[in-house]
Amino acid sequence: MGTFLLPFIEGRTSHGRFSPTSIFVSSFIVAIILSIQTSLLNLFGLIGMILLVGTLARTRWRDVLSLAARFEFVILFWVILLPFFYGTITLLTIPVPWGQLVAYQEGFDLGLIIGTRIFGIVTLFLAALSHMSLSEFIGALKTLRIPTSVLGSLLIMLRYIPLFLEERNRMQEAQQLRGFQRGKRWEQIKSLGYLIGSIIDRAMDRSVAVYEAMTLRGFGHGMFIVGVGPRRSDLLLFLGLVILIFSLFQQQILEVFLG
Amino acid sequence: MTCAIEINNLCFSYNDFSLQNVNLNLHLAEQKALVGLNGSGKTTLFKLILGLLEPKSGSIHIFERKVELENLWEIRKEVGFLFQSPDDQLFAPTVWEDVAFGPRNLGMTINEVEQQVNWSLDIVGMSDFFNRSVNQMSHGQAKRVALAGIIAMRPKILLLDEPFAGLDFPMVSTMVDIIHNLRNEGISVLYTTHNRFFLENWADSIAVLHEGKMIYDGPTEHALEDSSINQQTGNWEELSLRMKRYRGIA
Repeated sequence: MGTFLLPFIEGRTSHGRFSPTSIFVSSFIVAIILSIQTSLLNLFGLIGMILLVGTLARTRWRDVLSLAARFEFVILFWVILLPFFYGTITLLTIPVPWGQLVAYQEGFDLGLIIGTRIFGIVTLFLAALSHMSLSEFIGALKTLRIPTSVLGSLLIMLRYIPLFLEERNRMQEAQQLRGFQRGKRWEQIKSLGYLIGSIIDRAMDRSVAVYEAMTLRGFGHGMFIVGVGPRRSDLLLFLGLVILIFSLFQQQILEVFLG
Repeated sequence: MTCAIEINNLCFSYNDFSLQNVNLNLHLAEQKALVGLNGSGKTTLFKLILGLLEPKSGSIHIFERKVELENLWEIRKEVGFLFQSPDDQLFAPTVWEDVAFGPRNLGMTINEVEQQVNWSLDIVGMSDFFNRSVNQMSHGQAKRVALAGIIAMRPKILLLDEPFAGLDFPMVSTMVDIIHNLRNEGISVLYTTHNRFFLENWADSIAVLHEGKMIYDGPTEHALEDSSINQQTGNWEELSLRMKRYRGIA
């Protein structure tokens, strides 16, 4: 059987210094800070800080970065496509049969900033999740008043996506064992169609069975997901955040308070 | 004798499948095997007992309480159902959380939940796995955890859908001990099986479903002597002879 999709710690509790809710909230605040940065230098500085803090906190970088690498298409999409749609200063001209494609400097800069932001935010959240168990993550969301029905669905989704992926792999192996070759494009498309059809069909059946199993054990009658409270050491985390915000927005803050 | 489950003239239909006038009694602390060919309606009958499906006519009583919409939760507190595939049942991140799901829904305090979970994991011999992800267990281990999740709610009746399917011999042996111990505590057990070994050696009584009709509900000894019932449970002697013939040793 496979594991969960995200880099959670196995087991019930992580025994971390900070509460999962604080880790999650802090990551959220840092993500907001990352998303409003317009300078590449600041972004690289922040990502460097995330890597440094993560290393000090013994983050499992191999797991985190291999998952973050799956977002390369989203990042490259912005970096490669945006220069062709936005800007005035010509960076590159590519001749094509129907004329020419022009890439602009402003678009490239903006794409680079957006791509770096996405990489930073994804790495940040994955690193944060790698310091808590799935139960603690769900508990943290519960503390943040996310409705139980949403959390229940999230829990089931995180449990069953790996199962469906395994099922897909098994079916693909079975196809290959019965002589299916990844040859003609049409055959590939046809086989993918069958595969998706059966997986959806099985997923429906399984979701019904899971729901029945949960109902039989009283789903909806009690409080399955329990929130997690803050810890004293969380103050340190938030103090660090205040220092970070102050150092990044020193000028703006002083202007507001001192005029 | 008081009945744990009493089914009278139960009818149900879905597409081209139907259960017709099914009658069945499961007595207190009785261990009954429900047998029948694939598609004969065994799992459907379980689902009707648990109120997951609604009968067309007839009635089901659990400890003299009728199974109906108003008291489904009360009924489900009394009846634990072990699914054939543990993947359909286990969903929480860890073994502990999954077993704690039922007790928490029963409104137990944290200490009671802890006690119940430890007790049931101990019974199925999975105490050391409490912190393990439910994704990282063998089929047999997952089945034992699924059973722990059921018995943690302290049901008085157990419905087991193919409890021994896909288990190796040591795991079957463990499962037999677990269910035997539960039965000693007064739990009534209704289980489905295709394996004649578990009929001959383990069932107090047998109920036989054939194409949606209950053709027998009585003592094991009589059932195994009846040739028409043997067709449903499988004529293993004849098969054994045929196999020997194929191998040229008979």
